[in-house]
Amino acid sequence: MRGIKLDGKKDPTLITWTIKRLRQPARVRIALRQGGRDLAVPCVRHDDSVKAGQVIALPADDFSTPLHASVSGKVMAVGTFAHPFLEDAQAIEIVGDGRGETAPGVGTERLGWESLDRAQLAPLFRQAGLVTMDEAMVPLHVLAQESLTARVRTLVINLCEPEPYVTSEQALAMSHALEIIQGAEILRKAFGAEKITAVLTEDKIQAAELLKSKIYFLKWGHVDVRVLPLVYPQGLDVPLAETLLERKLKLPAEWHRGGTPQDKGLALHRVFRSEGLEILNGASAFAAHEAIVLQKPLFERAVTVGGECVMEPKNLWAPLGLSFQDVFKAAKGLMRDPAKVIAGGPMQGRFQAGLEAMLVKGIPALLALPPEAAPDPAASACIHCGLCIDVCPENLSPVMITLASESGLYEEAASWNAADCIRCGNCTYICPSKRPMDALIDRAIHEQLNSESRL
Amino acid sequence: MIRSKTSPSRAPFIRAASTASDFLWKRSAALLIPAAAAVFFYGPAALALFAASAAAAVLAERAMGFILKKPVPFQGGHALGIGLTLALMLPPGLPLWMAVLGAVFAVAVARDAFGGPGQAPLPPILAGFLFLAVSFPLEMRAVTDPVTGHAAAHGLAWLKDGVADSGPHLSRIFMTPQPGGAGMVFFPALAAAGLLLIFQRLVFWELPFLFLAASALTAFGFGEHPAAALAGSNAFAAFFLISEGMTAPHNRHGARFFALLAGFLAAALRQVSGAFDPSAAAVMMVSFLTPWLEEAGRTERGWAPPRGASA
Repeated sequence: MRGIKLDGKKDPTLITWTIKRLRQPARVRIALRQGGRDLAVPCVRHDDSVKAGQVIALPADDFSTPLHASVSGKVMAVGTFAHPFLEDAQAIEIVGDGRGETAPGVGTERLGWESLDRAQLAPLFRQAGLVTMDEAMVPLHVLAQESLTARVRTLVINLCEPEPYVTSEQALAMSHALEIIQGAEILRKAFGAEKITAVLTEDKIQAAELLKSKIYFLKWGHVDVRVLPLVYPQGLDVPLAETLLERKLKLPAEWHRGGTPQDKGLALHRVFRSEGLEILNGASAFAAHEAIVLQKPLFERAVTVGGECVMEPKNLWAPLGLSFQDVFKAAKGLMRDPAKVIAGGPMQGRFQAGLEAMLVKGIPALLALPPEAAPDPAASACIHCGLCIDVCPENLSPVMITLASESGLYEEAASWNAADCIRCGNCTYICPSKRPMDALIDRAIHEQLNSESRL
Repeated sequence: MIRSKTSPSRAPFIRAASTASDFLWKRSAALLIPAAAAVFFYGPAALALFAASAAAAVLAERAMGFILKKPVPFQGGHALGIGLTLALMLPPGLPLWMAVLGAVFAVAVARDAFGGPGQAPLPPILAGFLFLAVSFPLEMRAVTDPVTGHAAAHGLAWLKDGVADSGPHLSRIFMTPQPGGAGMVFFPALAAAGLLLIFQRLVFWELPFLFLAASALTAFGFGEHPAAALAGSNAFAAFFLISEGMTAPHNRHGARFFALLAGFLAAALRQVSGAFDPSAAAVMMVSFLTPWLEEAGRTERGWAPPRGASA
């Protein structure tokens, strides 16, 4: 695959493999909409005492999952707060009491979890609030139900983590390898898949060896580990699927059209499933293990707190709903004002206007980048150097698409296969003229979709 | 309806360090190698030619920026590249004011009047060269042989009675200076600069290779020694003209067709007439076809068939 060897910048958060626990936070705000399409209705009232892992909101429809308190404390309010991905969202505010109590049963091993079958697993996923732990946050019970009508051959556990700074998956794989494999096996059963492939990039060879040793120990012949070359965007779900299938995929219009993260994710998972794949990351497998084996619902996740502005970059077990301010505080705060705060990695993540937004299930990393790392360069004219062609993983000609789009020639842009763009961001990254390639390609695709829907 | 947040700033947030001006300045720096060779063989006259042309190009850009109230693009790197490349193609004895005129024409008229870098319908360097060739045909033809100091035929015309039958003449191409444009005198200098560009990934290696291969094959077809393709102006065109971003098609297949066609035409033109610089003329002619080559170079998906799994 064509791509870029990005500067990983992962070392500061990999000084130790341990994922640190933070002190009981004073306040969390748990969003009732995590990924836009789901909705939960609060089932607690002001001043109710809650414990970590207790249900505080019930799903409003078949798609949604219940939400759980992430700290023990008192429910303060249900209000509108800043959301990292959505414009504004209702959230339940819990003021922590510092005692760190968990709801009864949470953390105790479920008897007979090995013999749970497909029909039993999906409702358990839902009870535990499991979602895919990337920005899409598609509930796992929805994926499990949809997989009933499709044949999923391979469950892919994507541990590639191709983006710079982000190491939460790698730290998780190093510290909880067995849990990830067992979680993957639970997911495999739930999706009715035949085998599991764990995929890593070659910089995580230690994690790959660790996984292999655990698999050997378990004597599971249906699990294998693949190591892919380290080249961005290898490891994003779409290029990974294309590599495994050895052909290019056609991306659905719903995905291009945008909408909420969950709508996009669902459309993408449907494409993968039609090819017999289900792709989930390591954090999802780990969460499945916690939920099924230890009866621990999803109320915290591993988050990388990184970027040059952070005093002590590290991986944290962060309770959901923690404000970004508090997440940074847990890494000893910021030593200088960041130019950009990003939820997710620097290539795919989302810009955050402030530090008030709360952590949701799909944020693997929180980065505070200084201006020299995340510049806002002024765009100049295209010099036709062809670098964007060299790095496009989909073998497109981004220069032609963007030049056409710039001139308003959207049909011309479409004829250069703009709709095959997977938005990896490589062309924008590499462009020496710093042109807004992705925005121009986006515009071309949207215009094309609009004109198609007008017909 | 729940709206997804629209970010004022979008991913990717990190950018590659190299900028367009770096890119263009590095290109110009590579041009200094053949320029140094020219100064070595022709003396200060060549140096004056380069300085005049480069300075005229940069100043013309500033002036146009002032008149059109536009900022100077790429810190002058683009104009400098035009001025230098053009000067390397001119005969070393050319009056300086002509070189200045050519550079000003290339930058101010052929490029900036059409909206600046990337907007010009014709490659500015070749437009400037054509302008001079049409305006001052006699002066543009007057080339001195750097060895003998006598008047010589321009470009590759000397090859017709020169190295056609291989043997000891071959070394003349590679190791001794040859008549032609100021920058084309010494093949090793051209090759060094070309390789520098290729290793810095400023030039896609296939294009010079295909150009030279097509040129060599055609020359061979006409009964010449294939090594004739490596002679001065042809090597210059291979490394500096066809790979110039604005000239070649913007998809790889198209660019490959472009290189092949230009290589063929460069060798063929030399057979037809000894006038001027057949390689530059060939590149110029083929650059008119760029839109069609771009179209022809399309494959179903962009420019190359999927390579399949890389692991």
